[in-house]
Amino acid sequence: MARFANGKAPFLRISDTKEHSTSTIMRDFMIGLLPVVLFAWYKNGILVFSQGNANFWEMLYPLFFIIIGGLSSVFMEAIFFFYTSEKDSRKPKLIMKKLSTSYGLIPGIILALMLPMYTPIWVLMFGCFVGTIIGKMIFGGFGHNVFNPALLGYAAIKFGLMGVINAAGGYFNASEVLIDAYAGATPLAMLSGNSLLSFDTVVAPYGNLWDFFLGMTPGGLGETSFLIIMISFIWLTARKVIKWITPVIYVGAVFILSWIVGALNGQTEIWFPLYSIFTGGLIFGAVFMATEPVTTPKNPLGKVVFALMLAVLTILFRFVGNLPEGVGTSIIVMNIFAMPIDKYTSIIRSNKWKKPAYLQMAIIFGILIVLGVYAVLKAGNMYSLFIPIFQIGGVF
Amino acid sequence: MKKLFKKHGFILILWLIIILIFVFGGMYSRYVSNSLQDESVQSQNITLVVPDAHSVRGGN
Repeated sequence: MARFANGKAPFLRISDTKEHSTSTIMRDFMIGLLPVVLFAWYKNGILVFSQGNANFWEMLYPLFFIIIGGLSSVFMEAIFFFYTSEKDSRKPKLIMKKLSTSYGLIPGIILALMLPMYTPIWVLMFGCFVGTIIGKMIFGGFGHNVFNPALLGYAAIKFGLMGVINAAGGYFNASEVLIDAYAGATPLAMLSGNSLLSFDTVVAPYGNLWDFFLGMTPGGLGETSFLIIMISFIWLTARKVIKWITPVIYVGAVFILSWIVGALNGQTEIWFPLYSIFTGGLIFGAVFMATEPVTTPKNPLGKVVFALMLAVLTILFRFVGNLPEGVGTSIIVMNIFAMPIDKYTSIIRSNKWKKPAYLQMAIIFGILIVLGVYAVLKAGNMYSLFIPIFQIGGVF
Repeated sequence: MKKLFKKHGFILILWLIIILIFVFGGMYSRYVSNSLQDESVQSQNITLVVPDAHSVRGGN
């Protein structure tokens, strides 16, 4: 039923109230990021220091790296504001005012949390430039960007500069680099390089699933801990900064699809889908990036479709493509479709179950099913099971 | 000089900060990377000295 505002005009929108203003939301978002930042520092700095594998300056480095990510973005935005402002409004006070409503710190921090600890600073700054200036400011600044700025910076680094990062030390902190069992590979790289799918080959080198849950495995600075990111998720949901629906459906669908992929490879046990959602940047991407209000659909049905398609793409990229990690790429691809998804799902919602809605719904879910079936078939390599059937139909 | 700074001081400071982050941050990250590589080489040497060793643990 439609809801109407009662009383006399002018009406105050919820977003105009102090409790739900953009600055409050951003403050709460920063508080949500804090446990992840602290965990990244603990795992890659304090713990390594306490194990005797790092000195004081090396211990401080992860925290420095994250702060530099945030500051670089802010200062780059300030320079951009300076050169794009009218001569009269180039005063420091006015630029500071623009900066306070642009929230440049957040994409920089998120980008730093996604990168390996040994990423050279110039690479981080390059990512900040691509994300902040090309991904955000050129599109019109905060609220106008098509892509998630942090993800755009991450994609530029991932596709162009991973060799530089690996040469500088890559994903392993000073304690992890000493562990022979890791064999120089992150869990997902190990999975993609292993033809045999078993607990002993995929999980055991890194400990057990509990280690994955806690985040004590190699990976991006702030991406590894499911537990810590869940705490952030609960906070952000309770503060109504993000909607629970996207992360829950995204992670849930990856869980189910991974289970099917595992089952088709002879692994019906629950460890594989759990491993699948604990590894890589899935939970980080689901909580901090797939929920971004600007680059994702706004209505609930749109969020559901968006999350389902993200899950399908993630499975495709992880198990079929050459990329060990598919979360970032999936989200950036789906950012392009956020607007049409929002538009068509809004039509479906407003038309309810009238005739045109059937067709639109059928098209969207048809695409989803085709993508999903294709992903599962290819990922499991199980199409060989169906070859006798499909050969008759001339499909393969 | 004073006039120049008054006119362009703000943008000069912004650029200076970015350059400082680039230079000193770069030096810091290179130092940390080199330390890691040294440690990695050291651990390989220890493994060579003690061929049966499976892993290396930090001493007390």
